[in-house]
Order: sequence, then C-alpha cells, then structure tokens
Amino acid sequence: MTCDEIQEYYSAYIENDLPEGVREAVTRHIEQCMSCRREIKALKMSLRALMQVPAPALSDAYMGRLMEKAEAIDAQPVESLPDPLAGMEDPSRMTAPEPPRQPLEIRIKPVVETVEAAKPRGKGRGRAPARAQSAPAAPVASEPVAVDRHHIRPTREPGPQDAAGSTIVFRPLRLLLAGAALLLLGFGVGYGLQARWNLPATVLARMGLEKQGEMWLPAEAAKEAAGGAVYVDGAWRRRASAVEHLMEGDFVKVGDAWVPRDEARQRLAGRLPYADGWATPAEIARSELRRQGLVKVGARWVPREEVEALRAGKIRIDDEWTTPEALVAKRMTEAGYVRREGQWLPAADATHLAAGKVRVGDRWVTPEALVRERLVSAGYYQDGEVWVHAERAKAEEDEAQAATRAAEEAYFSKRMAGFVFVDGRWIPAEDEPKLRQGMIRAGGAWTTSDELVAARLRREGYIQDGDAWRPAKEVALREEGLIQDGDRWLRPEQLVSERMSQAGYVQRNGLWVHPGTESSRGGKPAPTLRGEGEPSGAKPPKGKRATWRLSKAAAVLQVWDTTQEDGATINLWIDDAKKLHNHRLRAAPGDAISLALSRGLHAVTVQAVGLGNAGASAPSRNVTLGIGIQGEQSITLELTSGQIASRWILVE
Amino acid sequence: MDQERTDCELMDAAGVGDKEAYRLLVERYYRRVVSFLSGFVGDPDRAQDLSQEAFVKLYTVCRREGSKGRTGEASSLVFTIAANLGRDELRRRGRRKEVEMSALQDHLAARDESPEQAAARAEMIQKVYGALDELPVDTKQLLVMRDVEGMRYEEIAATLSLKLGTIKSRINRARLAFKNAFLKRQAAGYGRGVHA
Repeated sequence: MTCDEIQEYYSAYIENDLPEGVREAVTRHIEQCMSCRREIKALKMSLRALMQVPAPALSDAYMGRLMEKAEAIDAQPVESLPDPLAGMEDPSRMTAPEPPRQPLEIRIKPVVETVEAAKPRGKGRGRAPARAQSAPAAPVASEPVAVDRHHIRPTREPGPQDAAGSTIVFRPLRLLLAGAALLLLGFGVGYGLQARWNLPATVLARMGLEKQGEMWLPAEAAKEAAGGAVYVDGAWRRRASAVEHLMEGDFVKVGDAWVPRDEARQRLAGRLPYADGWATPAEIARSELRRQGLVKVGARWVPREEVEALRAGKIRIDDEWTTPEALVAKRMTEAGYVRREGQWLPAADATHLAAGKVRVGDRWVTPEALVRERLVSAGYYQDGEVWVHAERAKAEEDEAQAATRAAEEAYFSKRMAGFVFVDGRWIPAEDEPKLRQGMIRAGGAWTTSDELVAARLRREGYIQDGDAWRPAKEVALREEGLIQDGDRWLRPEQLVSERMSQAGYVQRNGLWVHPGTESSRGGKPAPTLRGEGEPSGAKPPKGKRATWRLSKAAAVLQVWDTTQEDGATINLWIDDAKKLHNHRLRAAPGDAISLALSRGLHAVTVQAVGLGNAGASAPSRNVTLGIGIQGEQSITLELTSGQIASRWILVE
Repeated sequence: MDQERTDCELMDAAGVGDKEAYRLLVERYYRRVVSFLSGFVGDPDRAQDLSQEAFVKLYTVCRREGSKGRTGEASSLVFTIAANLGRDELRRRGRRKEVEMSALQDHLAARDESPEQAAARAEMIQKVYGALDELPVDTKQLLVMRDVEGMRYEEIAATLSLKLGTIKSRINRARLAFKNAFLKRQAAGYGRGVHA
C-alpha cells in the first residue's frame, strides 16, 4: 500500500474499525513509514483538540426562557403555528418518498394583473403564496419561472401560452429592472406631494400643536419639554428629580446607577443573580459544576463518570475509560496475540497449539512426528507398531542365527553319532523302537514298567495276592489261621480268651462262665459260649470255626422271634457290651432289631428273659429266636427262660 | 422512570402541553446541541442562542404533529433543525469574527484550572474554531457531528440521509482537512511565541 492509499484508512485505523486483513496491512505500512506515523499522530492530536470545544451547562435561566416561549406557543391555536421544518430536509420523518418536485411557476402578466406564485404541486409543506406584486405596464405575456427553495430560475422548457397567444419571456434581470422602476416612481410621487403642500404639518399646527423633536405636543407641554422637563406621575419634573421620584423607596443609588434595593443588598453581600435568586460566586461555581456532572474529589472537580470509572477500577487511555484487563486484551489483540487457557500467545502459536503441536526450536511439530524424528535420529526404525533399535536388532538377529547354527550343528553331529531326539532327550537310534513300545532300560536290559515294579516288590518281600501285593510274612500268618488285632497276630481262641477274660468270664470245664451270673442263677448252669456244633472249649476246626466269615468292613446283626409270636424278651451282649435289655422280639425278620458289627471276631451272647404271649400259661415252652447277618446266613437258638447262649461271629 | 420514556413518547406528551416532557427532551439534547452548534458556528454564546431557537422549533413540531411518522430517537430531527439554524447563521454572518478570548475563558472557567491553564485552553479552542472556520460548511458539519458532538456514524447517516460508507469516507477527508488547518494555526502560534 502507498501512503496515499493508507490515508483513506486513517480514521478507521484510529477508531479500530478496519477489517483484520486491511488492519494488518495498514499497521505494517505505518510501522515502516515515518511520514504516515507522523500524520496519524498529528491527526490524533488535532482530534483531541477538537473534542475540547466547550458546551455551556444548562441553566435554570435558559430553561425558564425556553418555557416562556413554549407558553407563548401554547397560547396560539395549533393550526396557526408556522411549520418549523419548512424548507428543511427531515430525515427523521418516516414518510413515503416525496414525488419529484414540480418547479414553481410564476407567470408575469400585464400591468393590470398580478404575478402569483403557486404552491408547489404534490408537496405537503409548501411555502406561503407569494404576495401580489405590481407588474410593468408593458403588455407582456406570462412565462413559467422555476422556484427551487431559495432560487428562482426560468424553466428550460417554454411555458404554455396565455389566452392572448402572444408570449414575452421575462428573465430575472428584467423582473428586477421592472421592480426598481416602480420603486423610483413611488418615491417621486411622495416627494412631490410633501414639497408642494406639506399637508400633515399644516393640519397639526392648526390644531394648536407644536412640533417638539419628532413629536407634536400641546404648546404648554412643548415649552416644558423644551426646558428639559419630563412628565412623570401627572407632573412635569426636572430630569434628575424625576429619576429620584421614580427610584426612591424601591431603588438605591450606587455610584451613578439606580439599583433595586434588594439587589443592592445582595450585591453588597457579595452575591450575584443566579437561577431566579442570588448566590455567592463559590455557590454558583459549585452548583454549575454539579450541574455539569462534576463531583468534588479532594480539591479537584472531576466528571462523575470519571469517578465512577475510577471506582470501577478503570483507567483512561486515549480519552477512553477501560479496565486494565480490557486494555491488555486490546493491546495484545492489536499485537496479534490470542488468549488461550489464561495465557497470551502469538496467533500463529495458538493455532499450532490448538492443533496439538509442540514447539521445537523454531518449528511446530506434532508429538508423534517429534517422537518419530528423535527415534530415527537415535537409530531406531519402525517395525509395525514397534520401534526397534537398528544395531541392537541386528546384534540380536546375529546372535539368534549363531545359536540356530550351533543347534543345527549339534543336532547333526548327534544324528551322525547315531542318536535320535525323543521326548526332549537324545537316545541311541536302536533304543527308539523299544521306547516307542513303552519299555524302559533297567540294568542294561529292556523291561516293562509292570515287570520292573513286580521285581522290586518281590525283592522287598511282597507276594502277589490276587491283584494286591502283600508282605510275605502277613500272607504266611493268615495261612496259619492267625488274625490281626491291631499290631498283633493272634489265634482266634487267644483273642476270644482275652476278650472273655476282659469281660469277666472265667473258663470252667471248657465253658466260659460269668461268676456273677453263676451265683445269681442259684446253681443254674452258666451260659455256654460255644459255637454251634463245636465241642466246648475246643479249637474250632479251620474253615468251620465261629459261624460266619464276612468280607465286609462292617456287618449288621439281626435278631428276631422265629415262632411268629411277638412278645418274647431277651438281653443281648456283643463281646462284653450289653446291647439289648428286656428287648421284646418281633416276629418277622423284616422287623428285627439291627445291631452293627465291626470287622473282627465277636462273641454274641443272648439270654432269654420272658416268654412272650404264651410265657405264663406255657412255662415249658422255649424262646426260639433267629440271629443272622443281614443278607447272609442266620442261625436259630432255642432257649428256655433265663438260659444264655453264645456264638462266634468273625467279620473279615 | 422518566429516563425510560422514549423520545417519541416525550414528543407526544409535549405535543399535548406536557412541559415536564418537553423539559426532559431539552435536558436530553441540550449539551449535544450546544456543543454541536458551538463547533459549527464557532461561538459558544451564539450557539446557546441558536440552541434555544432549535428547541423552540422542536416544541412547535411537537405541538403541530407530536411524534407522528417518527420512530426511535429524536436526534435526527433535533440535529436537522440545529444544522439548518447553524447554516443560516453562517450565511447571514458571512466571515466569522474571532471569538473573544475573554468570552471563551468565561465558558471554560467552570473547570478546576489555574488561570494560565484556562488561558492556554482558550487559546487552543480559538485555534480549533479558526481551523473549523476554514472548512466548507458541509465538511465542518460532518466533523462537528462526529468529533465535537460525538454522534455515531449511523446517526449522522440517518440525519443527513446518506449512506454509511459515504459518511465514513467524508469524515475521514474532513478530519484530514481539519488537521492541516489546525496544524497551520498551531505552527503560526508557535512562531508568534518565539518572536514575542
């Protein structure tokens, strides 16, 4: 832009009213051009001076005069009020556009006629019709003359002809000449009449009046007036005494002037007329200052808006009040900065930041690009989503290749040596078929794992018993007929003897007898504790001893009445523990009492107590009861009342 | 409450004889009109007289037609009247006489300034008036409306029935012309000061 072009933008530049792009261009130019800078500075200075033009404060006197005039207007009918806007453009009025103005036509007619100014056609607020004027006596025809507000000019087009048909065109100069001639004629006639006859003076003198200055007065009054007297309050007085007469009472003479008494008093007190009253200059000054919107702050009078602005924390810059923040914002914005998250940044930087870039030296780059640059410069390259250090990657690759080569060499050397790699280890190639068959090498020979285990168990003294391996000693003891009781191996009769002794029985004549029972029964035979069919006290033969051998961890002993008659009662012991006392037997095995038996040899002892339903009437009858192992075999005992019988039961 | 009444409302009320409404209208525009006329005719005293005439005319308009056909502010109407009065005054008076320094100082006396400061300010304002007087009437009117009275560009455009762009462009030219005239007077003043 040149200096001349910039000049067009001076005002808008000062008022900060330029579009962004233009403002930048203008600012650039001004920064570089000292001449334009000087021009801008001078323009600002001259505008500041222009703004100092004073405006007097609105006074009560001013307003009073205005109100009087308004009252005078009110006294007139509205219709008679003149249009104050006549001849003015009034853009404030929102009316329809005016039709094109018609030129005002003035027709100049012969002497006996008048010239009239017609109202403009189509204009609502026209001027008043021109007064009738005399026209020259010459026979003239009319000519249209255009009147446009303040000027009269002939229309370009010739006007229509009058009825006579003869048209003489008058120019404005001719009009003026005609008017001047008429005026001269009037003066001439008047002067002639005055000089020849002096008609008014003659008439007044004959009425007894005398001319005194410009006035006609009665003769006596004229004499007084000629002596310098004045007529006041019905009498002729000397001028000085007339003044005193008029002034005395209400007025006081101050120097050469007569002043109203009250005014004199006020003025002596140092007061001046002010706002329909009197006030000291200081009061006037204060009132006027307040009226002008000033406020006293300390010794200074300050505009109220300035005080309010200062209270609001504003500061004044270039005749404008603004907050410090707004000023900073304005200056920063002018300097091309933008505010971002509480910080002022150059506009370009803000754009980059908004795009998520970071500054590196003089450049703006995205973080990703920066990381990429740094990694590349550090010798990394991207492999998919992973950054790999080129040298380290090469070293690792070399190492892996070397390891692969070493492994391959080892593999082939092993293969060459006749080995094969099976299940994670190298074995001679000839062993591979046996291994595939599940064989293992033990002591230089190939065998199966089962054989190996059996050999080991045999070595350790075990003997296979069916599917189980048992110690050879245990097998031999069992074959000898011993049974295991805890850690001990006993013969069955040894175990019975121990148990019976523990239960308090004693053996007499091959029978086990309880001493208490023997005495309480009064000589009755002690209950026998022998197996059915076995000789008393004899060792039961192998395979027939006791009664039952059960291959169960536990068995259930059942006792019932085989005579199908309910009601017989018994006592029952298993080993030495009394399990039933006066137990009433039931007839059916399904209703029998059930007692648990653990593994081992047990002595079951039964004593008949009552005979049931038939007991009392048939004392010879016996108690017949069945004892059995559930699901196994059973035996039947027939006891007389009070008789005890025992049986062995071996649960294995 | 009265401050909230629009110009049109006040004009309507004044039109039916409400003097309070008329007083409010005068108070609203007094300073603006007087400062405008003061800059326009270059004479604060005469500006006050003319402003009174302007407000009388405004009252007559109110009486005749109220706010009929107008909307918004009365500023356009008031300044149209004032500008016409100012033009008539300049036309009637011809070349402006320089304002008496003493008269200027009277107007400036209200401010809390020392006599020296008031005199310096009066001298500067005299130069402003002189520089304004060198401008063509149209140019002066625009400049005074904008920079003395402080009217908005839109208000000026509405008052003079011109386009906004035209107004801005003319005001820019008016400012440059005023600046040149004012600087010339400033330089002359400095010259006088040196030789004195």
